[in-house]
Amino acid sequence: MIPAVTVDIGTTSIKLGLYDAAGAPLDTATHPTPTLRDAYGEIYDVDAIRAQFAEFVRDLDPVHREAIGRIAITGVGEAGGLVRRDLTLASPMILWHDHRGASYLDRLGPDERARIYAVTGLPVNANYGLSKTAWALDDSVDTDGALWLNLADYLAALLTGERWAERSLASRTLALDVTTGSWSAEVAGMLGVDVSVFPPLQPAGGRPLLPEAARELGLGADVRVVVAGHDHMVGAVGAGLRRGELLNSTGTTEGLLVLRDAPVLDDRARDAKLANGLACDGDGFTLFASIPTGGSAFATLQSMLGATAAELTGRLATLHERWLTGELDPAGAPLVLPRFRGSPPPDKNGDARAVIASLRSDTTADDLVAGTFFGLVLQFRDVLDLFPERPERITVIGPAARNPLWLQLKADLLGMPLTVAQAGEVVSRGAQALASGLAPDGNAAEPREVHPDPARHARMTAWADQIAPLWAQLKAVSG
Amino acid sequence: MTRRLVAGIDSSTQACKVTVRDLATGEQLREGRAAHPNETLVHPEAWWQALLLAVQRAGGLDDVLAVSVAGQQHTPVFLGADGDVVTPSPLWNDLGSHPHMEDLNRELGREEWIRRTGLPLTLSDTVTKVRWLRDTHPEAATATVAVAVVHDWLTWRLLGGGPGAPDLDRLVTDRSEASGTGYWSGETEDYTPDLFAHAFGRAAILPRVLGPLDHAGLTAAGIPGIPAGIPVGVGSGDNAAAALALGVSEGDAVLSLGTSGVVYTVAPRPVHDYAGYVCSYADATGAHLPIVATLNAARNLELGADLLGCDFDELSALALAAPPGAEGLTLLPYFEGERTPDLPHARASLLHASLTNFTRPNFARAVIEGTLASQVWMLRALDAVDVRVDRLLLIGGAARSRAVRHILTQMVELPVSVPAPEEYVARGAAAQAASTLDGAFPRWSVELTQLPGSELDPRIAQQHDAAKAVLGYA
Repeated sequence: MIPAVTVDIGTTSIKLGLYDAAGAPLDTATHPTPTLRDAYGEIYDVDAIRAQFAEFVRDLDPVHREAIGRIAITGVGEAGGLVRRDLTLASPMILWHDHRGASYLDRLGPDERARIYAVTGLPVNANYGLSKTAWALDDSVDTDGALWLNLADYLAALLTGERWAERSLASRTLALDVTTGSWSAEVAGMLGVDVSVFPPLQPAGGRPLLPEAARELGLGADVRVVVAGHDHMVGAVGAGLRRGELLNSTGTTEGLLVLRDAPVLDDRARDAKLANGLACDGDGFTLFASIPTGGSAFATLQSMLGATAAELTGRLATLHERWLTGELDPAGAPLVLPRFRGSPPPDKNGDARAVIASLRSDTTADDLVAGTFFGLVLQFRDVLDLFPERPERITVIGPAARNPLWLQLKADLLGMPLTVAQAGEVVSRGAQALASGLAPDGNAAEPREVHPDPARHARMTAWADQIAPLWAQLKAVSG
Repeated sequence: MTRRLVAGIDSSTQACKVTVRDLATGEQLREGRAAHPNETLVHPEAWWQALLLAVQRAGGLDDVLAVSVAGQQHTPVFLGADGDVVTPSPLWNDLGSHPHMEDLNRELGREEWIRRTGLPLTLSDTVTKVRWLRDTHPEAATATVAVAVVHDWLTWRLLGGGPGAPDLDRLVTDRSEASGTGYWSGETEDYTPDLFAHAFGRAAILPRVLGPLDHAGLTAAGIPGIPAGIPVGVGSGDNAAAALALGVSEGDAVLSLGTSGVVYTVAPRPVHDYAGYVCSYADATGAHLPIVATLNAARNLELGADLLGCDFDELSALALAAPPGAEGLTLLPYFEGERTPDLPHARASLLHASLTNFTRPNFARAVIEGTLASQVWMLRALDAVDVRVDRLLLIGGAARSRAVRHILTQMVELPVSVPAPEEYVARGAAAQAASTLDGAFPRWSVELTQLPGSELDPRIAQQHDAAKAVLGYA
């Protein structure tokens, strides 16, 4: 492996790391993702992101810094903005879940939406870059020659002086022909966007760091900058995901991702709003679904209950024990449809909201916590059922890997074992592997198994069957 | 000058409260209370023993001139020929009688019950408990020769009735209690024996209905703490007693936030709400007392505080820190099922929770807004049967919450006043005791605090109406 500085720009935090030739972390730092507000909402504070990165690199042990050969950048999939030739921003750097361009999609009829899915492999949604691009072109000044860059691509552009798009991130714009791997003038044109606003795809091996940037950061002249790709997909690399397996990437959101030899563009996949993409480590494809509420449920509960992270973790540990000993009854907990940030496929409605039902006069805070995690795993199963095949194995990365209740409930509901990446920052490790041009090593993620229990599986299944009508009603109610 | 004293007894769902008051002013001089069992199936002897204990804790009644009893409405006491209680009593809030309510409605028609009795039959009404006994405890039903409600039975005990003293003809009640049975007519001011017989399968002795200023009789000898030979007032149901104590008149509506939520007012005539929400009861003065009630009220606040891990004051402060509508977070507070609307098997739901609005202040606010939305909705039900409301009086344990007071003023366009904290049911009973001495109800003043008005925020009610609609509860 090539020693690398990794940058993982997430929804709520930026993870910075220095990994040595053995893939071991020498230094890491985490900062809240810096944002500002404009007239339309929250936007990324790019200068602050650049400054956090520079400070991290400059503060590294000089001996370690000298060994660095790569800067590997990964991040959220659909964030972006218009970047001029001089690398100044012509538009805000828009958050991935910002829907300011949504009205540009309203003009699309059913036939156009079907055609867009057939070409791009993506369901029409305002998260993706194309509607944001259309909005930015109309809302911004001095856009001549400006290109639409993902946030990770933009950070790379600031370091290399060149504007390009990494292939997995490009496949999250709604403007890339997923089959040919080229920009689609037809689809971009449906929103009145000239396809030339999209940059060339990133060449293999990245680009050299600008000499002035190298001097500023104290790095060698031979360092290359590589955008590793969409964070969930980079995580698949870090976890050593293989064909037939499913990655369950848990961050603020919860991603489900499988690798495929070809995109799945049939009606069923379209109706399920599954998202096809280009894999970031070769010629393969990915099939992806995102559940808007994942690890963020932890913070939501923490805030609601006025509990510290340690206190909530303690509650989860106790609930886990009660679950293992059969003292925790799913029917005794409220039924939580955890759509705190919108609904997952097949609805994919950003305006959907969580519903909590079956609250009784004896419901306790512990019941509410348990109900939330019962709801999270039910929601996961719903989305898993949208995929064409059940995976042979599910690999879990991210904060869920440290949540024993969440893991065990998931294994017990699905009746299948989970492989859990114990190593921290699997995404950053994947980014280093990609920047090094090496094949993934799943063992680096230090996997362990979480096994289902047949009796608990039967109990969970019976409970899920029993509450199925109410669960369906809550989905209808949530919007 | 020696004060002349009277005693009022409130045998409520949760406790028995005895209050000793100055006949001239109504001022409370002593009180005593004793807890009732927490179950919804209770042997009435527990209520009698609690009454005796509460009397003892009030210092005894040796110096009082008259006594009267108010009690939880509806709850029956089944008496055998020997004067003893036949079986434990199902409380008004025991949900076991729901199928029997459905049976009675199906057999005679829901509208027929409303037409004959003014009651949209609920699982709380005495008549459904009578059917419950017939169907679930046939041997006890066979042994039952008289059916009273709690205050009737306690009054009878004060008069000397009880095991071994089976003078069942001395059982008396008042219009307010009779009107909550489901076998009494506000039009004829008399029982409807055919309805009782329909529910029970045969006739039984029912307490004689006395007028508002009648006497029940004199206390018997040998009751610990209670002197023999003092007048016993006619007594009443709890809401009628509170209305009497508060001096409620036409145009006033009382919103009581206790174990249950109740809205009632005084009307000159019985009402018939074929929509099925307003119960047409009689009051303690000879008028009528249309009432709407929810099962869930003040306990919602307890649950909210428990979930947030805070006390009532913090819950109130949190709720006041959130904007009206709690940023969309909406609670339908049917934690224990509900009777208005009729959803005995429902449970509470929290809707529209998001990453940004699911906060402690919004949750606290949603609990209080949800609780009050159910209560305010009941005012609409009164309006629908042409019962005029010009002013709200807010009472009950939850009325002490600053947030409840403030948020209520954002949800109604009526002036809201809060009477000084008092045991108004016991006070009303004491007023009835006083009437046995003077032949008229005393004019005891009530200290009222009018709440500052707020601008009406219709969003709150709209959110709850919409939430009920999407869950199929509207």
